[in-house]
Amino acid sequence: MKTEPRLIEEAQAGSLTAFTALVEHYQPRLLRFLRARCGSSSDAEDALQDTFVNAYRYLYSYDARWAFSTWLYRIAIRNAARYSRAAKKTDEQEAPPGAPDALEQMIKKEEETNLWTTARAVLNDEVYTALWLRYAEEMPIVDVAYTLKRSTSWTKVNLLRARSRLGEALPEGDEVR
Amino acid sequence: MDRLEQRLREDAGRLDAEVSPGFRQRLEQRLREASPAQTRWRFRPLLAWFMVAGMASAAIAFVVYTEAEVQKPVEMPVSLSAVEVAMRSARPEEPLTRELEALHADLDRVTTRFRTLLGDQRE
Repeated sequence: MKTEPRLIEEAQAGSLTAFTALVEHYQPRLLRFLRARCGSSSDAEDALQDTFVNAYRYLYSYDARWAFSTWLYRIAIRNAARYSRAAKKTDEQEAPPGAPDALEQMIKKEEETNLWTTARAVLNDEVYTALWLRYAEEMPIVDVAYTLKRSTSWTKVNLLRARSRLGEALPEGDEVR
Repeated sequence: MDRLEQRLREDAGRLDAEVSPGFRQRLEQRLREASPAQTRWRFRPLLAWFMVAGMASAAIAFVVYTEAEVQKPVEMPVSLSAVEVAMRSARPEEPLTRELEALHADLDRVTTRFRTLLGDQRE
């Protein structure tokens, strides 16, 4: 089995097979994130597709000093923002009554609550993304800051606030609170 | 890792990450159509050779042209006499000199007249 740096190197040399292996690895993680950020599941899939196509086209610009996931997330965030804006415009023009939220759709029916649903409701896009990158992706603070183009201190402060707001938003009896 | 972090991690893993049936085919199709951009500069021996040859020929042409320019005789666009006339007419003190000469002539004339008158009276 080839290592990630080797796959990136081969993909940069033009190997579509190597890039497809990278896609397989990152697809579930990015899709979870994009579904939570975009307005609908189909938008999330479109954003994911654009993310991989952009990554493939501009793979030469990848800076190996940063993790590959960090670079992918930067592209994904741009695409998510683009699709979110488009979804907001569509909603303003024509809001379908009782349209289910993409995040709620993907939470398995047997689950009662998911912390990310609460986080989505109480946090803005940027702070939600910071929280996702830090705790779902387990990125170091520096990488989270780099991905969001923010300072390390901004990231630390907003992560603390996000945790606090999330705690407050949870029901009284929740063990995490 | 505290309880909240652990829950966030677990809950993220519980989110459904299944793609719709046609997604993979669509993505593969788009990836095949997309060609990687190649803007990073790469060393190409032939291109480098042409660049060096071009710069060398430009340098040679410059040197030859400059040498030819240096060896050409200098042609005077205006004759020296014309320059002298122009310089003379451009002398700023000339009107004052003329005025001084006229004053001298007047003084000489008055002196002569005065002497003549004095001589007439002595006689």
